[in-house]
Amino acid sequence: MPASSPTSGRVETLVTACLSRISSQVVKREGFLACAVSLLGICLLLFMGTRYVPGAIAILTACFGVWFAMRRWRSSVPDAYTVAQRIDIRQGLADRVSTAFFFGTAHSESRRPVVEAQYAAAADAADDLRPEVVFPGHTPWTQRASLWLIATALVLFGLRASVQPRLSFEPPLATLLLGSFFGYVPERPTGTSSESALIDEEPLPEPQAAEDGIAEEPIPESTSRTEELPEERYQPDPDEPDSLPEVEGLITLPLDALEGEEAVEDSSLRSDAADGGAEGKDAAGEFPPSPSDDWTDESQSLLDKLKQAFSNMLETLDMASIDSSDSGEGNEQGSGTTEEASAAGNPADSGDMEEGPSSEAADASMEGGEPGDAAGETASAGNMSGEDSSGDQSSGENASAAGTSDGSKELAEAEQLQVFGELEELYMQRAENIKGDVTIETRLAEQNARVPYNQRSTTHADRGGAISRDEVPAAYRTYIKNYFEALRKSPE
Amino acid sequence: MVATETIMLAATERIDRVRDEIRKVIVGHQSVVDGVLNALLSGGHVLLEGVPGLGKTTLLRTLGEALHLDYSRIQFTPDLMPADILGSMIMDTTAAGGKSLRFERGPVFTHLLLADEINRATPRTQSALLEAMQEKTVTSGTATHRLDEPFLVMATQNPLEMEGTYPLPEAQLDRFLLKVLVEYPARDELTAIVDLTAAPSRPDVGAVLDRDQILELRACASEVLVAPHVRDFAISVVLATQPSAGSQHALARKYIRYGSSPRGAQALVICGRVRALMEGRLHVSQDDIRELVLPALRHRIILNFDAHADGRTEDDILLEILDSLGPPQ
Repeated sequence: MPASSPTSGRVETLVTACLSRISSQVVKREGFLACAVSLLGICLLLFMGTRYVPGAIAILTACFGVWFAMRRWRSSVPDAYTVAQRIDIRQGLADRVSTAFFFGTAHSESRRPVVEAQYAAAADAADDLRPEVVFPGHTPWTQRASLWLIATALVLFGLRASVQPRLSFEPPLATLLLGSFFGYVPERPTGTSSESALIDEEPLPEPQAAEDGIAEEPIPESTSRTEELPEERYQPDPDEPDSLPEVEGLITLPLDALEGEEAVEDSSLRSDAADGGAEGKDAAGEFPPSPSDDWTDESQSLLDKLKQAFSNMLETLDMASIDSSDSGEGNEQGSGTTEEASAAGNPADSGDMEEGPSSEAADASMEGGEPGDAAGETASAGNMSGEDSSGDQSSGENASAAGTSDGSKELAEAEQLQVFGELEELYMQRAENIKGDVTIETRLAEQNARVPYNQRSTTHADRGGAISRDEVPAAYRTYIKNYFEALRKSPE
Repeated sequence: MVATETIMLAATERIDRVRDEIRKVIVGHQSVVDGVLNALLSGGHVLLEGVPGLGKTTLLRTLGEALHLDYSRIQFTPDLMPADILGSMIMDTTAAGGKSLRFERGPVFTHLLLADEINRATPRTQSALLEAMQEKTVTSGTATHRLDEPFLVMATQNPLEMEGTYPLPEAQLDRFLLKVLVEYPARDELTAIVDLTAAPSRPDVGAVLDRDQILELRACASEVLVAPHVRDFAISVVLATQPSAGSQHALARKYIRYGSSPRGAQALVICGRVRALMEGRLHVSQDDIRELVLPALRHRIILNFDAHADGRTEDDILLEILDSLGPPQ
């Protein structure tokens, strides 16, 4: 538009103002996008911890967010001509402003009278428009996302700070929460940390056998304390690295509230390992959880239940190991006393035993983590040991306390399941290979053979292949095909 | 600037006056009247399709009276010959007894030509109009005669009674700038038509425009501005109808055998200018293009057998293509 024109710049002013407004909105949107991406990295770091996610992820995501937002910003800001078109669309001006803007700025020399007349009409319309009306402000979705991520980050930080006595970003938040509310501590991929070292320094609580109502028989003095156990029983098997380190991992709880309880479990596990699992339940029952001020009654009862279930499981495994040990010794032991049964089930004392399933069962009881496998191996050991295994079971039941009968029952069920499994395999093989004739007895009375009517129909499309036959001339195939398609597409 | 705006406003007023005069006789059919006026001011021709009795002939006669232009009417029949339209050389005897050949002009030498039921003539006769419609000339022997401007061919064809007809070839269809469908009138419009017919006298139609003013309006229409994005929108519509184009529509691949020719894009822009002028604007908007897509392109696309088998029409497909292009962004 020439400078001498009385309407010069009115349309351009509107377009420029709207362009600035759009640019600010785009900057706002993309800025929040960068913020959201950065917060995403922070949330990830707060959730996973520096154990799994490096701390530099926050910086990396922030840099990526800024780069991505700038890239989007460059492609999102329209040019002035596009802004003029948007003004026309939003205000229903029928391309008046955009046409005036284009011909007024670029192509005004060729059609000066018409361009000026059209520009004047557009300028009159532009005078009534305000940028804030044409492009009203709105909250971009990236802003909402950023607010949500900020809230999420605060919640994660609050959780992490609340469950930790000393704030640390190293462990995952899930581990902290599980350990805090459920007492569950998963395996740690790495060996030591400052927290584990700190907790390991805490002394183990003294067992309180008097407060325990589960144990029915007194525990020998020699097995109540871990420091009195022979040192070689704690040595991990170098060939089985997963056996003892799992027990070690149970000791390194990051929570102070769980220190006493975990120490009890640890001591019970060590006692189980030392006694071959036969006295594990008693040892576990003698060490009640030490009361803590931070624990609620609900979590305390839940831990008691878990501990009870764990001791029962160990009981079951121990009985299986006792049976297998008895069978390995060839029924030399009769209906012995409790001490004899314990000695027979002790893997440390079974050095003279034969290498066989019984020793495997004892190892399984030491591991304490695979009761199903241990039971299965014990059942197979019972089958291999001969007919005297049943007699050993009865002696084992007499020797041990509660839970022994459950072990024998499971052993019997395992044997039955194994037998049924073999029968089922036989039946299946026979069913697959069966061949022959089937004779059906019928009466001599007159019979009517009835076949149910099955409506089968086809469509014209299925007959499309018939058109390609030589009987149909090539020139007529298209018309015939279209005819059938028309029939097929008709309502009937 | 003021003078130009005044001229433009005057042009709009003149067009409105023509509308009013035609409205005295033709009830309803505003889109048909606007289409015929648009074709006249654009320098093109219009093809009207509708059943008999909808006032097509009356419209042309009224238009001729309102515009103070000559008009001719040719009833196309199978035995109509090209010479019956264009004219022929006749032997002329002078007073001295000499003989010479003289070209006797046919009915095509007029301003407004009504080719009634054009599809009933043979292709040879139909083709006789090709040169006149496109080049605005008539060649007889070695002589070429120029037709007087404005020259508008308003052809009609009946979609019924197709037996014994010769559908217009695509080349001739492409010569028509617009194809306007004449629909049945609504109830109130039919009531007005009946009342008008029962009147003792026919309303007088005044000549509100003459030949020079029409040419002046044409010049004004050619000055109307077309922004690049509006022009691109028209081109996008045309390309979407071409099944072999890169930006074709899915329906074009499925139902269209031949898409619109470049004449379609030209028609959209040219008629868009006239429509903008008729609306009192000095620029073409995308709404003008949208309004003109159907009359400008429906006779320029040829559907395949699948479209006929599925009962699809040109209008359906064009509207879907238009919808797929969406509102202007």
